[in-house]
Amino acid sequence: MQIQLSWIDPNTEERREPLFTTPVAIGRKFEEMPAEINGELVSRLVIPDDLVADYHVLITSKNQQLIVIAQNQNMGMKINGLQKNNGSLNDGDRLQIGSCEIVVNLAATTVCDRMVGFLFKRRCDRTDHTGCPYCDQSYEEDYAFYADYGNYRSGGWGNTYYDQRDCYFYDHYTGNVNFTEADAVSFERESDADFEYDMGAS
Amino acid sequence: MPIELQKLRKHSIYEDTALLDSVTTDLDDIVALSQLAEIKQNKFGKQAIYYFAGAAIVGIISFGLSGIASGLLNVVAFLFNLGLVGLVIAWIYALVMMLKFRRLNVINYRYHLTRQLIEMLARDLDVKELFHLQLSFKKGESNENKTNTIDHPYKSGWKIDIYENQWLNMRGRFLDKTRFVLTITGLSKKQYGWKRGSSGKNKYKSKVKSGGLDINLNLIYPQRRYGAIKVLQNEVKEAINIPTFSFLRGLKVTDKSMNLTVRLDPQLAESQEKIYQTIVAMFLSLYQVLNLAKMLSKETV
Ligand SMILES: [Zn+2]
Repeated sequence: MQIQLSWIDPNTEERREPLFTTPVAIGRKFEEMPAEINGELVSRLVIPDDLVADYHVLITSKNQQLIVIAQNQNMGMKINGLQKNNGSLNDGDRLQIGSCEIVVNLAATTVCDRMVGFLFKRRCDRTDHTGCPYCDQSYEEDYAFYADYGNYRSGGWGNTYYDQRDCYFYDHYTGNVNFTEADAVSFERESDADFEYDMGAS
Repeated sequence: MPIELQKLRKHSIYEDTALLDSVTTDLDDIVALSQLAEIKQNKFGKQAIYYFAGAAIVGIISFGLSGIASGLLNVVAFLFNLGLVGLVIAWIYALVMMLKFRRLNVINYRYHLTRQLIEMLARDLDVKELFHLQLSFKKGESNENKTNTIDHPYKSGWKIDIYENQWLNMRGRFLDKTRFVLTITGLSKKQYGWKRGSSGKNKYKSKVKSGGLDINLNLIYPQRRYGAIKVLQNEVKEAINIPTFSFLRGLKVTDKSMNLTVRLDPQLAESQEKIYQTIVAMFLSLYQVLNLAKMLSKETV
């Protein structure tokens, strides 16, 4: 998950708004913070303030939820002004560490545009890909039971219809399927079927 | 809803209409239950053998003792008899328990196949829609599955019972609003009658013959999305691509629905893998048609 943290640097009084990928460790000493947790690279943010511990808090994400855990129980932190040792963070929450107040914003997430589904393809449209049960799955084995599934190329079933697909229109008022000759003339023949593209267009 | 064990034990049938999650949880419960039953059945089966052997040995000894019974030996013989009674009771108990668990130890390939099918279908299922599953673990030749009785064509006095055992019925709705009904029906025949044996006595004989499986898939789809199927109607048959070990029994196509029936040979009727492959091929065959129909079904504006 990507988050944007914004705060005023206590030494330079400068406003800072960098983008981080979770997990994010915050502390006073870079080398005191872990470089890696459970195989995930940790973004390390150093805040040079006497009231900040060497390794003060860790922000992680689990199931699209942002969690913050104080690593130094004695120093703790404040979430929206309340003293806490751990808690969850929502978009716009204020996290106070030492004398530094950090505003946490969830970065606009990108939507997965991979094609998923077995019988008919559609866009995944999920915002979190980690452990995505759909887009990580391969259906090769099952497609083996219908060789050429999703292809309507030359010599295969339905090819003539597929080649002229742009000429067909369905009128749902009358229930009729119309064929437009004019379009057939201007239609450019495609050599190969882009299965996923066609399946996904809805 | 937790699965009703009593019901499963009594009727050997699972039936529910619920969200997919709940149905799969139930299926997993049945798997666990059946595996446990298998273990218990074996355990009590072994116990029954031990108790029986023990009772036999004690029985022989006490019978021997009773012949030379006098004084102190009388007391020993009495104790042996007491032990014999105890062992016989234990033996009967173990037998009853074994039979009880045997009823719960349901036919494995049926739920494994069902689980496998759900996993395949779940990729396109609308999880917010209700899913219906009826899964029976009954053997085919029971009275309620009997659909017809006919006279034997050449054995006089003999009859043939015809059975149709629909042991799977699945219904659900895909994300494209298409509804599906999938059924698996085991077919079998039983011929029976009196036969004169070599000794001259009349003997009652019966013989069961499997007729294989009928797999039926019905798809009911939205016309708005797949309306152009009427253009392809006459060519649907060529798109059907089922495994070589199965054959097409029926195909009906209208602009609202497709119905496909495939027959599987008797020797494959209990093969989880072969049934699964056939069903996957059936779904893919019909959707090969639907996906093209969709491309031709753009609406006129
Ligand atoms: Zn995805």
